[in-house]
Amino acid sequence: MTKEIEEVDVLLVEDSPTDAELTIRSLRAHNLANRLVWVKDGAEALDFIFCEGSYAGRRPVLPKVILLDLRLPKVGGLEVLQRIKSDPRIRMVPVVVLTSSKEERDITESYRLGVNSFIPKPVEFDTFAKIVAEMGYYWLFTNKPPD
Amino acid sequence: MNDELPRMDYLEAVTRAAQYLAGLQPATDYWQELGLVVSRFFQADLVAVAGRDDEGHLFLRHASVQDGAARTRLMDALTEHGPAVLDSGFLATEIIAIPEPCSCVLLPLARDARNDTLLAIGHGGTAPLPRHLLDVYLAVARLMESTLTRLGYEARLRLRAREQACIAALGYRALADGRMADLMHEAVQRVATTMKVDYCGLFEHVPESDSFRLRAGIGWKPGCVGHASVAAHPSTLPGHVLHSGHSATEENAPAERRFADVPLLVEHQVNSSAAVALGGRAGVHGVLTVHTRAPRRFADEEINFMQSAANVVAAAWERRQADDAVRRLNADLEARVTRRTAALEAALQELQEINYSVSHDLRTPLRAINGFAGLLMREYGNRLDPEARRMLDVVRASAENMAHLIDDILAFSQVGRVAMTRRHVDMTALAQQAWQARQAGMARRTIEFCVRPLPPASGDQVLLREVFARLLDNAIKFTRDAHPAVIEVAGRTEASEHVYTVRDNGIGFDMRFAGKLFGVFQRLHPEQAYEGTGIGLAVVKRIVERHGGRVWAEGKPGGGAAFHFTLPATGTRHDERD
Repeated sequence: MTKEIEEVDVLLVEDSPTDAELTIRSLRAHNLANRLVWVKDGAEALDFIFCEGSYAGRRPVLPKVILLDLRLPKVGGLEVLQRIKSDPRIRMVPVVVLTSSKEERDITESYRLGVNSFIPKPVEFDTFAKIVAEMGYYWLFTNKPPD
Repeated sequence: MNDELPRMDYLEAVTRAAQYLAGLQPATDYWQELGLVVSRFFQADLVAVAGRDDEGHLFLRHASVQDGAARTRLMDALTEHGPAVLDSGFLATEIIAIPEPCSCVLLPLARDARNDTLLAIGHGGTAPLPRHLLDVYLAVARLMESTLTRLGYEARLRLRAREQACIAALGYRALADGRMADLMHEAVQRVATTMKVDYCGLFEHVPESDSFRLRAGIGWKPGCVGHASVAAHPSTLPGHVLHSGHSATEENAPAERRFADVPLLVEHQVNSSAAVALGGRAGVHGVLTVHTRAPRRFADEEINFMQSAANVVAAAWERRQADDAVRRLNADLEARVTRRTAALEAALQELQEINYSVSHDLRTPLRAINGFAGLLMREYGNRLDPEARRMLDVVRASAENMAHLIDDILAFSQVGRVAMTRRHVDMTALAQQAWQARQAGMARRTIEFCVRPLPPASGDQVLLREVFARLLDNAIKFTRDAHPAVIEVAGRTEASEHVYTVRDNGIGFDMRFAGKLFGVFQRLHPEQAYEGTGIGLAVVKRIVERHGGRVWAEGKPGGGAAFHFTLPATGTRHDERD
């Protein structure tokens, strides 16, 4: 995909193009999507993060935040989360689960695996846009990551 | 010479004979003992005891002469004169040459009121025996009769005691939970020992082949027990017993020919047999048999004994089969429960998958509808006329409404699936908590709310709080136009249940539709007037029913409504502090 991108702020892992567009638009409205990479399934997400497969030649720069859906083709969101949090270096990257579900087992399991935030996506667009923008602002500007 | 014997000596001889006879035991060879009494105390030169069989033939039980020719002559004489004596019951005197002449008295001896024994006493010479000696011998004969009767009774008494001990031991064994094969083996062994027979067998009927299998046995050739098979045809003795259910005996098979030959019995040179049925309510399922090589008559008492032993085995057998049946049924039931449980678990699993899928996948298109309608409004709104904008609003509101429906379906499904933790619940506090949680959302409303003391319940605190929450939501919603709005929570205990009521002075409802109130997505009022999906009361009903209670409602249009639910009063304590 966008192999030429070197610095990455947001890695969006989302299989639904409509959800992806709504998310990207909501971020872009606040200039939060300038350096955003969108991948459409769990396998591609792992390839990107671990610089494998079609991302093998990528400069190994880590995103500032990973927005992760749970229902994903090929490799599920929880497995992606588990792989990220098992790697001593990559686990430093904040992961925000952004999903339709409010299922208790998803929430519990995500936190057990070390998720940094769990946000159910509301259906109502104004609320959705507000939450996504606040979340993006928080992780990209308010939050202070290790250097 | 006998005339020379003084009378005092006769008296003494009779007395001593009586004492001797009184001391005889059943186990001894008492025919010989009887002979000894006469030759020892009366110095008789010849003593013989003959029996008479069922066919009237005499046979020698005891004789003081040993020489073969002498015994033959003696037997000839007894055969010639004996039957008349036995038939008439009177004594007779004869001269018997064996070969020396001997003056003999022949006396009938009766047992069980039947003259079946002949006693012959002789003194050497041809002189007739004196009258008084005949009287003395008559007296001795009577003594012998009573001795024989006593010995017969004693022998039978001992046999009965042995039989009883055998039945008692078998009964004890049958009650213990041992193997059936062990009980059967013990039965044939004890019966054989008690009845002193050569063979005893327990034959099980195999309906498939209509034959018997020798399940347990004593005396049979090696390899027979457990394997030997016998046809169960009714023409054979065991077959006859199986089919008739009655006992049968055969004293002398080759002579009688009452039953068809059974190869197994022929092979074992069996002459006499007795067989009884093994059975109970479920019918005859086998026979217990005894056999002897020598001809033998089986008394009724012996058959009764065999039947008792057979009954013990049959009862144990039936009980074991009933036990097995119960065990099979239990195993069957268990398997069925396991199957059903697995099916139920699979269905539940499927339901959870559907829930999960609904939870994730149904919202995404709704978000797209709402989101893109929102974007359209935001980015192109100024180019649309008011009617187009109203339509876009309808699209957005509908998507939102459907999202609420999904939330409610999931919540309703959750209420049925979530595990319940039963504990003591302070219902008064629960109602107050639920009320306080609702106050933030109704700052602009004035509601007179009161909770009367409620009986505590046993149940899941989280679910019961949800009941109050849903009922209060309902009351708040439908008292919107009441001024002032009044909502009251009350409770009482009736018999075995607590009744809780949430009452309001809102718009009420028509009792004709009361039955629809608690259905899923049932609404009595138009959606435009009162928001909500209509799941609230269905959730209430589901929670209350999971607790073993009931729900119902009362109301009239414009006259307020009262919603009642009950919880079982059992297992709750009334100290609210706890």
